Amino acid sequence: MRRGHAKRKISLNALSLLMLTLLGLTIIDAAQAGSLTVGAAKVDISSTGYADGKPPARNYAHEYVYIRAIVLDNGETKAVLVGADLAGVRPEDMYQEAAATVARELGMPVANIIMSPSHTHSTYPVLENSEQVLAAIVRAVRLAAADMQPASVGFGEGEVFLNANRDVIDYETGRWTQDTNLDYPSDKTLAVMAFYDKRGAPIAGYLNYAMHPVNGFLSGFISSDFAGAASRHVEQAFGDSMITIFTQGASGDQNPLHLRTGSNVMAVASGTEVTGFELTRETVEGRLRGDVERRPNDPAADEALKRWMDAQGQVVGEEAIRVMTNMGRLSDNVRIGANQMILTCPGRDLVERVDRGYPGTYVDGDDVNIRVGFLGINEIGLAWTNAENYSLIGQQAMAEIPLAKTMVVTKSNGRPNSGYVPTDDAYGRNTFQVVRSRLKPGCAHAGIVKSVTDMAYDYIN
Amino acid sequence: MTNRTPRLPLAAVLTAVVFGSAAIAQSEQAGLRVGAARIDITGPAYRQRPTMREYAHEQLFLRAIVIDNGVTQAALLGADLGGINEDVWADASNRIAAKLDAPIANIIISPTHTHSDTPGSETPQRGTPRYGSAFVADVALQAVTEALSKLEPALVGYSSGEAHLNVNRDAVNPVTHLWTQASNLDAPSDKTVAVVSFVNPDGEPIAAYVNYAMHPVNGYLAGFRSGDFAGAMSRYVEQAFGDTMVTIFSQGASGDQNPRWIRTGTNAMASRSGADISGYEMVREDIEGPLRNREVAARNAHPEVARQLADYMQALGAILGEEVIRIMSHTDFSGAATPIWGKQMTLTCPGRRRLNSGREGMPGEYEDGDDVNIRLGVLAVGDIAIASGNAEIYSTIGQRVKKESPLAKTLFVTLANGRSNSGYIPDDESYGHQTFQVLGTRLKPGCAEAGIAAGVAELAGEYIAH
Repeated sequence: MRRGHAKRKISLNALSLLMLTLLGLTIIDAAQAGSLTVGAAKVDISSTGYADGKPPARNYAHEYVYIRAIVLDNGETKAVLVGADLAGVRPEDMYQEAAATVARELGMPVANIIMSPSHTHSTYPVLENSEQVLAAIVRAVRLAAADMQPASVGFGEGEVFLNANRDVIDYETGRWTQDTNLDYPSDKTLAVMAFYDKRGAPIAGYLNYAMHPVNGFLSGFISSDFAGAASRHVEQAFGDSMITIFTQGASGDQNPLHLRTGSNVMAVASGTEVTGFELTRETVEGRLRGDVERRPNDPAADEALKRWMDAQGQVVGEEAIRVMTNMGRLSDNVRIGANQMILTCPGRDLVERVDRGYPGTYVDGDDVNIRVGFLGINEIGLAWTNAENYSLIGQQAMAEIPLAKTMVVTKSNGRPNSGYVPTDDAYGRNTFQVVRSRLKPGCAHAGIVKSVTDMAYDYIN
Repeated sequence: MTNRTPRLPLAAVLTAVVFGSAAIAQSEQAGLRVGAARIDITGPAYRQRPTMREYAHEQLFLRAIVIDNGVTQAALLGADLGGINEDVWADASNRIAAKLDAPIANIIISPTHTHSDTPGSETPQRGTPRYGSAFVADVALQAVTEALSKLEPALVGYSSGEAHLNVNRDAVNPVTHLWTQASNLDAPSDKTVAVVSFVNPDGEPIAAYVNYAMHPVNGYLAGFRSGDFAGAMSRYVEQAFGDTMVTIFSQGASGDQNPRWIRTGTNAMASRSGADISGYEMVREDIEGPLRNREVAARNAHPEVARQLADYMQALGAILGEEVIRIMSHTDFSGAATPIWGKQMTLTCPGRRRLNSGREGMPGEYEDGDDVNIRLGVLAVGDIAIASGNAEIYSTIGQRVKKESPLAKTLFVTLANGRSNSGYIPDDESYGHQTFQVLGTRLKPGCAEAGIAAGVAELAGEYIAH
């Protein structure tokens, strides 16, 4: 369990300290607690992923794509949590406009908003319609704000053993690749924040788990993957009367442990033989990422993948419901406080693109700006960054932050120019995440942990 | 390499090192041959047990794997049934042993222990035999005969992984402070998934023998027939390989192990009894008790609730099945001369007879009872020991069996080869639990835990010496 994780001193070298620039602000919070009211809503944006606007017949809940919103109000200020069945809430200017619009309409600071994607890799056609995504975000928030009711909030943790570290050395080539590594760090924590009405019925759930939704990557069909399946599983368990947002934990180096069904769909599309056994993902995926002519999907392989996404979603969902059932202390009189800042770190640029598994050569590049923030809801802390952080960064942040009830939400509130954010010790790995990261080592890892920790201390002080 | 199996050269070396003397002693053996078969034992649907006809786990199967090393043969059988009674096992194993011309100790027959195998476990109509029991011996022999007819050159391998789907179920209710059956995340639970798999020389799977410790209770009293997650897993793996192979699920030491989540099953019970469904987890015993004790009239579960449970069984089967396939994909296979050796023994322990009644949460009162006999066995295939016990055994004992076995590749199949007169077999420390398993056991504490571990170790040791 991560709570047993030994606290590690985070140190910043002098350069990094200088580069740590606080751009925005002070605590924008009302210091006083007030009675909590909460509203939640979701908007279906599936149709935007299809050229004719008409989704085909769908058998699985995860074939739908939603924007979800939870609005919190304590009478003094408000906060908004938006979840999207998308790879990212991007581009950056779309996020900026969405955040500004929501903040203006609800009369609260932008820092009180967390907009995050589930990071599904199989809804890209929807993501391309940024104007419609923007409109859906605003609409979901409006719907939620129009349905406020007295509420209490709680936080709990469970465990799900579906993820695995994905930085590994291929035993045949001797080169770094993306594949399962059971010996490297992986956080199994499923954190759940939930809001309940006065009768104890759930209004909304806010889940956090670190696992890349890459099952449907390059599958050729639209799916919100296990994350969307988990959201729908919980929502449907409660008669579709509540909203469940899935957020990504620090999953920069975390994949599903089992990728076989997704690899099989790729294999069919690339003309590779499907054996039934696990296929080496990179071999199959690489062909499809390359210039191989794509072949028609096999409906049976697609069905197996969709069923697999659904199965993973059910397990995550059942664990979320277990946590929601056994939630500890609830608060209905809450304080809301938030802060955000820009962490600036030295950047680097690859001299030339290199194949996966090979080291990069770099020159100094533009500085990298990472947006980090902290939203406190009474004794619950939501630390966030807009990047894809490695697992240990998230685990260390949670170990350092003084609030025991903390989750780290990644890929939130826009998109940095960093690429992945590896841990400092990972910089020797020639994985695509590390090689293509625009961050020089020695800054972001410690900087993110220190920034969110400082903001958490500011909040409780 | 796109396909990760098999890894033959390394495996051959390892096998020769570990079993050097055995390999020499068995040098006249022909290569290993393996055949497998699966027979549908679902039985007819009837009005009281409607079928959805949507899920693979709604079909029940009896499966057989026959292993032949040119000198002798062994058979592994698994059935999507709640249990296989002593007399049925005796009949089946005698007839199979005769068919194979092999000792009974070379045969392991076990159920998945699904709790939703109806009509296998009840009489559908007056005068109609219990389908599962009455025909198991016949079908078992039929499956072995069919598997024999499919023998083909094979390699064998063993590997293990993990599935975090199970949880200890001996817990103290936080409200009543009494012992009950509920999730206990702090108590022992073995997450190991062990897989013995067989492939042909081209690396194509012939069969897999899976061992995992988790009670298939999702469908208990749900009102529809299902092989639960165990049956779902078997079919998931089989279908992943184009239905060209057979996958047997065997139960590990699961006397105190339930699924971590049983919400959908509890909902199905609630739907049958008319209790409200909240969406949250509900206290299982509050819902199950009245239905189990027939204090409420049971109707069919609402189709939507039943479907949610069936979906969930399928999901657990998929999660476990993917881990099985992952394990198989990373298994080193050996085609070296493979000894087959089996032996059984009976462990006798002092018995007790309960004098008071009450399901759980109260102390039991006992007097001395008849001795309890527990049948133990080891079937060795090369460097793999498939240990067996004919009862429902607690996790700590199973973990101790594997730890104390002199063969690193040991799996422990429970509920196998008949049915002991023991009831559940708790580990010694668990005798303080006032759960229905502990209160109902006919075993006095202090004998079975150490006896089972020592018995299996002795048998495995004898194999190595042999």
